[in-house]
Amino acid sequence: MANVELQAVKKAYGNAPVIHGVTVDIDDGEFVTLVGPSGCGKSTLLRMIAGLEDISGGQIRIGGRTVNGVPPKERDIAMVFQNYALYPHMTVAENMGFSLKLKKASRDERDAGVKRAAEILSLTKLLDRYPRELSGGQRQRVAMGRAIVRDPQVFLFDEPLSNLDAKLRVQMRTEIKELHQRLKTTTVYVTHDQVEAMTMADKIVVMHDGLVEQIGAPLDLYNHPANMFVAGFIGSPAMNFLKGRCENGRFVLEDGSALPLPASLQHLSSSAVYGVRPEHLVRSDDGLALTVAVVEPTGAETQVIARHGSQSIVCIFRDSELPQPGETIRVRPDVARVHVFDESEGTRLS
Amino acid sequence: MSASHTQTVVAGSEASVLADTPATRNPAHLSWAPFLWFAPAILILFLVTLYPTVFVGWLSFQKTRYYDLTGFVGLTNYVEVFSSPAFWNTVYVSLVYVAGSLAGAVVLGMAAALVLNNAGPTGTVLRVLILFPWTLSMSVVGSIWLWLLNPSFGPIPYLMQLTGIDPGLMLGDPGLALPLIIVVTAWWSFPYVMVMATAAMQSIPKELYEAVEIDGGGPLVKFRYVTLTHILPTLGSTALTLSIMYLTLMTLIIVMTGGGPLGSTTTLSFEAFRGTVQAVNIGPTAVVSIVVLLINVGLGVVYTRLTGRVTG
Repeated sequence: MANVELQAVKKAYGNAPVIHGVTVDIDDGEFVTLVGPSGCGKSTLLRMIAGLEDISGGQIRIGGRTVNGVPPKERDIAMVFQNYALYPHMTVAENMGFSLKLKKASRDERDAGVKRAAEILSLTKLLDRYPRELSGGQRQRVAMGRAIVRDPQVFLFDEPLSNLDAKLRVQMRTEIKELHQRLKTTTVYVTHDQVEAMTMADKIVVMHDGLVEQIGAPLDLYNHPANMFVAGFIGSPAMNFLKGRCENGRFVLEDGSALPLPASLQHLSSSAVYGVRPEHLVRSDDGLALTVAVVEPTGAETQVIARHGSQSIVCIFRDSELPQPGETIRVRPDVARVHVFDESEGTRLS
Repeated sequence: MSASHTQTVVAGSEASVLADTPATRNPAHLSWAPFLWFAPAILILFLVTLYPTVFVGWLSFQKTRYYDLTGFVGLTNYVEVFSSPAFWNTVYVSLVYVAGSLAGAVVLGMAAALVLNNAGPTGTVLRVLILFPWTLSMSVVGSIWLWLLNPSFGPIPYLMQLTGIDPGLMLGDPGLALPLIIVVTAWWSFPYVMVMATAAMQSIPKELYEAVEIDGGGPLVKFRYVTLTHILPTLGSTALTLSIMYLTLMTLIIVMTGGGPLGSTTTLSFEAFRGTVQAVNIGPTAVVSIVVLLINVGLGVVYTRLTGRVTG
């Protein structure tokens, strides 16, 4: 096991920069997810850690050793790919033992390594099968087995669950997390799914357009997003953003209706964006009037999409009394959990 | 009507279902219709393929005098052919020709595919240029090489002389004629192997190569465990199609050597052609054709098995 340090890492394809200097410290044994929308550079960054992409600038260190220019096989890492990348003509056991075979390990050593990994992942019964005879989840487990057999210093996962159906994804999520708790190997995990990132990671790196927007523990990002991008990306459904002005200790919307501000922000007097998460809106007779557009009950809670003027606002209620479409409801934000962002910069003021 | 039909199905009585289907209501019309639809295809198949094949089979049991049939001779033609050393020499030449051309075409085609697959846009342009020989008429290919290899004024013997090698008679040398024909055949057909191999290579997910890199393999491991295993089925069926083609191919031989010198380039197909044109009794020639046919059917069966395994 080892720590991974990225220092001002840059990547450019020709004259087109895609990663503009990313600095991240990953501690020994930590589970870190790189999360962001498509094209934010998270996969490229992972592939640079793996050695599959050249580094255009900065430094990558694994276990204190600078690995810029070191080929993948000498970095002591293992990678799990989105499409599993299993060798189709090899059995599960051969797939898992292939790296040991290339290392010229003895047959016994190879068998022992494969057996150990197979037991960890309950693959023992499938060792003689070919990848084409396995389901998506089983293939993904074999790909993880192949990584475990190598006993690497760092595990790299590149959107490993994207090809699985929703139910299996949740199940494999738990398995990967359990695996990490058991092996305690430093893990870098790339995903575009913020739920995956939140549920699995010790630390989340939110990326956008080749830059790191914020690094922090899942709840840190949820409770204290650094800017509107992180606030909108972390949390599902996404945070509601309302444009207006801070005036006289209140937040005044474009139509003149007002929302409360936290005490620490009551001195502000400028244009701003008011951010409140759907789950932090409660029904209250003296609240903001909304017209219900769509009601989506999911059992435990109900998602209500409502309109205030031209603005769409999503609320989540846990009470059993469902509003009807067209009905007017009044909601009030939990003022302690309200965020206010600078209108031009998007940074959080509260 | 539809309601009663449903009822019979629900009742599960097979007989009543059958009784209610249109087929039994108008048997005369409907029993003929499928055959009518098939008739054109069957007719064309019969005229173009089956009839000539059956005719050759029948001919192999006949004695002829030029184009006159003189009578049924049983297995005499077979005995005559199979006991003739010249026939076995022809079989040998055919096998060497097929195996040699195939080896040349596959090695060249694979090499071209591997090199050009990693050459980006340049590779695409070069691939089009390399396809050129394949698009040429085989008699043109033969004529080009006849000129290139001409011992008196051909550029290749001239270059050989410059480097101090005695070019000899080239296609006129009984020891050299077959290898040269093989080289020309391989040159003409390797683009086909290249195209098929390239297509197969381009369907290989690039993550497999990356997985090998991470697992600790170099270029040889990538080729052996990813590229080759992936394209082997395609390569196998390509090789079989080419074998079938080489076995029946004779234009190059007609143009370049006429089967000589001293029968050193007389393949089975060339012998079948020569016999048909020159022999008084076509019976033995028909036997040679049947041998070619049987070998090709054998290869065809292997081919079907192979593609069946690939696709199924």
